[in-house]
Amino acid sequence: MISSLFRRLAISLTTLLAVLILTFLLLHTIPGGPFDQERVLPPEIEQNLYEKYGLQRRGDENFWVWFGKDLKSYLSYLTRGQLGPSLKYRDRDVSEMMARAIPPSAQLALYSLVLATIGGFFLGLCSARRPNGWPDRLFSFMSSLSVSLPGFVKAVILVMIFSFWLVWLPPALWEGLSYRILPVITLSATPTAYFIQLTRSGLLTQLKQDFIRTARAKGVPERTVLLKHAFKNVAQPLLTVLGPTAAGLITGSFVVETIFAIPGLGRHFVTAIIDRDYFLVMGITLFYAAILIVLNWMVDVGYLWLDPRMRKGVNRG
Amino acid sequence: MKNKLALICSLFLITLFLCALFPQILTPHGFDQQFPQALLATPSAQFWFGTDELGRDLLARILFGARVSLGCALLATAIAAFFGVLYGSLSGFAGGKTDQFLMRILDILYSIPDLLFYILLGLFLGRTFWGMLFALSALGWVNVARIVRGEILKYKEMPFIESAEALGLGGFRILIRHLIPQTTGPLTVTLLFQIPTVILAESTLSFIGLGLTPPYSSWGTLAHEGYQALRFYPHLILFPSLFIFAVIFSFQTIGNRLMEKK
Repeated sequence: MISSLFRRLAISLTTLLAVLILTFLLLHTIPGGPFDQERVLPPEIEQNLYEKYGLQRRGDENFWVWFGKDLKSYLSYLTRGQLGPSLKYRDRDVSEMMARAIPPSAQLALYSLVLATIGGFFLGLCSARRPNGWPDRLFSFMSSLSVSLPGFVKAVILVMIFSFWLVWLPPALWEGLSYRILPVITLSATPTAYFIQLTRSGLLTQLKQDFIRTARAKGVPERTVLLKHAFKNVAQPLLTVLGPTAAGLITGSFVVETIFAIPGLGRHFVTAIIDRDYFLVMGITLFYAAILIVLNWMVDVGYLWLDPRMRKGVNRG
Repeated sequence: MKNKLALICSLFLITLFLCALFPQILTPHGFDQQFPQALLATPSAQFWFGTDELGRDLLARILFGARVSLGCALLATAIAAFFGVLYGSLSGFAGGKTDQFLMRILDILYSIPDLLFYILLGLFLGRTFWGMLFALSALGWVNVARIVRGEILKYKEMPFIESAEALGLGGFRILIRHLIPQTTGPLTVTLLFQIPTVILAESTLSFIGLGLTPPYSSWGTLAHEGYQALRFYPHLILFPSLFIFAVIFSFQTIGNRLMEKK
């Protein structure tokens, strides 16, 4: 079991390297370079700019030669433990910019994840207790609505109601608690919907099982039946979707941070691509990929915790 | 009740497709025709959905945008279906080490935040209809491949395949004629859910400003333009958003209905 976790670690590192090379390649295939401006620079100055950052100007040489040189100089930054300088903002390091952008993004993602998990689980529990009762119908209607609305529409609706009409909450920025509410609700709406559906269908299958009937027959209180006996078996599918959910939160944060003007990673990422700030894009991409890999790894460990059968090296199907 | 809802959704989609193909039914105006005397007009008898800041009829732009958004979604799903079935069936049919290796690749692709890839690919391929289309197709097949592979694995060991082998049919023929047809049910449902996913991705990409360039517009770019005037002309974002929502909701309702029936 331990060795399989280490094998996964090796695979993860290969994945990270693959993501690195692929993203760097894609960035180089996009037309336009980091120092293109509206005013055309004299070639010597542009040449100097490229040299300062250890990059090459796209000349007449073969694409792969050019790409290889740039990749090599980026890797040399990485091996020195740096993420390189920003190409757009003079005298700023990518690591320094990211260090400032990570806290808002991390808070946003974490609050949303917690809200979605707890909210989704409890609403799903309410639904499963009486299938087709009014809470069940209400929540299933709400979740199909939430899944069908793109993130930006949800954000716009919330802003129109709570910021423009009721004037209760600020429509943008990331200053205090009241600024957190709308972005977090926007971002957590879709995962909450999925968690409700998963918890509901999972619990409904579990509650039909023999061991639940036995537990009820011997007089275990309903609350314990739900939370202890059924829950552990429902937690597994919830754990499975944690990886895709995290990916979804990252994707969602691009939009939410853009709309609510939150100075986080997602917003940096979108502008960095438009600016062709190669090193900043790479830094953020690597960070995202690393998070997803670690999360998937944790999911695997979580499986072992939830299902003792896997600890004996039984293959999980 | 649920049947009725799914029926209404199908009728809505059919009507929308027809209107997108023949916009003249609903509006005499062209999508890039300007009415300088009616800039930013609110909905009226002449302009049902109002006009934008260049005086263009929003209804005409939405119907034209439907061609882009729906066309992109349908074509991208078709491409995803083709490559997904190809990859998934080969992986499931081959089995063993090959299968494991191919599935590892899928695991990697599955954990990449899709929008990140769409953004990069979209810029690489250019902000045109075809560029967007291919960018959005690049990851869609992953889901399809998983489903198809699972189905193939399920049916591979069944007696009817054994008998086909006993009759001396070649592997390729068994795969094409006997295994892949078995996957149609789950495949249809997966594809029905794939379409709204593509619409969502396309509109999101356009909304953050990386979609089609003017004068062409999809629903996402229309919403993006409307967002800039949100405070004073909310109809500009209301109508495109409403259409995005209605189409996604319709496809999902139909998909759910088919899934329950199975």
